[in-house]
Amino acid sequence: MKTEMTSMERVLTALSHQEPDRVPLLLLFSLYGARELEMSIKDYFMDPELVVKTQLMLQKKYRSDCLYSFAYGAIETEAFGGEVVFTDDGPPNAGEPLIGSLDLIPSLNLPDIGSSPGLQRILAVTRGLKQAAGDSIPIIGVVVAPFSLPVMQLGFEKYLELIYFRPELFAQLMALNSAFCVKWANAQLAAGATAICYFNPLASPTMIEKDTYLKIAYPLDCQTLAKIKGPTATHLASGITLPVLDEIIASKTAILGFGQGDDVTRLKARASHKIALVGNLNAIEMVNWSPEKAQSTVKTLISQAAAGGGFLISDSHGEIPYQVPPEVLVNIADTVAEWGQYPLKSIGVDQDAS
Amino acid sequence: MEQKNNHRQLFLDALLAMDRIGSEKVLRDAAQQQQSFEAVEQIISRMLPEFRRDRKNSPKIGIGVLIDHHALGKRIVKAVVQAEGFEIFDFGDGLSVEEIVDKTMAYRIDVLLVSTLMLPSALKVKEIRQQFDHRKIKTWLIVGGAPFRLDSSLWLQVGADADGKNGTAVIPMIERLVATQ
Repeated sequence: MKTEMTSMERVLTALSHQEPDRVPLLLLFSLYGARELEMSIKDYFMDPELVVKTQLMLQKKYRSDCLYSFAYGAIETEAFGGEVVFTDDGPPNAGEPLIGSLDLIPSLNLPDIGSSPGLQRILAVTRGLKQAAGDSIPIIGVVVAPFSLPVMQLGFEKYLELIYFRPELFAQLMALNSAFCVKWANAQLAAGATAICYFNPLASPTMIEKDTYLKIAYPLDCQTLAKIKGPTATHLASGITLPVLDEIIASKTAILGFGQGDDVTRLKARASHKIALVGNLNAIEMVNWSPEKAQSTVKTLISQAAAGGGFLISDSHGEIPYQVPPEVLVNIADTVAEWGQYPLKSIGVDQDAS
Repeated sequence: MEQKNNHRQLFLDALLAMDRIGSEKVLRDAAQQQQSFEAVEQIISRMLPEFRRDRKNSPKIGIGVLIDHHALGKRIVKAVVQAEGFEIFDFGDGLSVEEIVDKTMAYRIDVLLVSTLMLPSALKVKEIRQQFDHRKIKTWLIVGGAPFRLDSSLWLQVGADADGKNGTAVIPMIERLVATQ
């Protein structure tokens, strides 16, 4: 058995495609903190000091190898002037689209991070986490990719109209979103984030055909990622990744968040030593996992993807749902602790225990 | 008359094939499906009076999006159900449990199709089932949307009668459910 590493050492070793002491476990807690504290999600996110304390508590309790400053995706559209709708037990959502008509796109302004209360709260959380954890635990910040943000800015149906029928306005919105994305990512890095998770669900062929993505958005993703002054993880938020793997590797991102629909064995073979993989526990199914199911799923994933490093266990969407029972998270952590130690033990293929 | 029947069958087959193609990932992505069904909606509005399947004693179908506001899936399923000649009432999106149950009662719906996007919304279907049981409503409940695709047993957990993966799958379900009444 290898000497126990800090979370930072463990993650960095895996990212350099070597085997650390055990497979890193990234449990991405955002609104789950409110559940742990039995308080409203809105009140929770309004208190950066409380979020910092809770992140540290959750990281320790569930033996996760990261801290997560992310609150909710709509915080970015909020900075553009949009509304956020809070619910009792789910992620806060964007309200009515802030761009009611495509013709309003030229009048949109680049948000000022300093005067956005929501973004300032995230930066306060990031600074607090950095102060508490130093360089011992990676702090993951989040941005929504320029190509994916319009789903919240416009609504999906209107966005498709923009993509296919209003190319000039599409280009204007992409330029604005890219400038914001770079500014927001770099502000989080300056506040102490170790890496930036670049959420880009629309890059997945689950959402849009590959040829269209490569033609209208991929070059912008490459340009945007190149301007972010720190390591990035491109995450397709449950979408499949294998068909665009080579392009994502070429975009110089260090990590790929893959979906539950991906063929893990093929993905691992093609990604080996080119890009690290993070995923792909099904967070929706996780709500109802038995201890046996949690163990068999994690063991199977380790057997498929962990050999040689370059792999970090996480969920496939980028957030642990509010409804997941704490016992399931403990089961996951126990299984990683037992079966994720390097050198890996031989793992037989379990029967589905669902 | 025979020629008209042939044309009608061709129209319906094309529509159902498009839906099936979408669900089987030949039309591989949401964007392609959206474009296809925008075209289909236009075709339906123009041609439905002529080509709509003639169903006698159609059950009353209700459709709505629970809590969420993403209505693409609802539009797709509604288009297919309409073309198949069923009487369908669109309750809209962003509906609360109470609203959807009240509308189901008011319209005397036989089969209710509920679409969701987010997990908490999908779990709220359980409350629809409880309301149905409490009010002794016999309406069949078919669910669809991302959470049900990501967890294939979720429809059972929330007390639905069936998991409507797409418009094509919904048609035989409606026919089967109604036949058992």
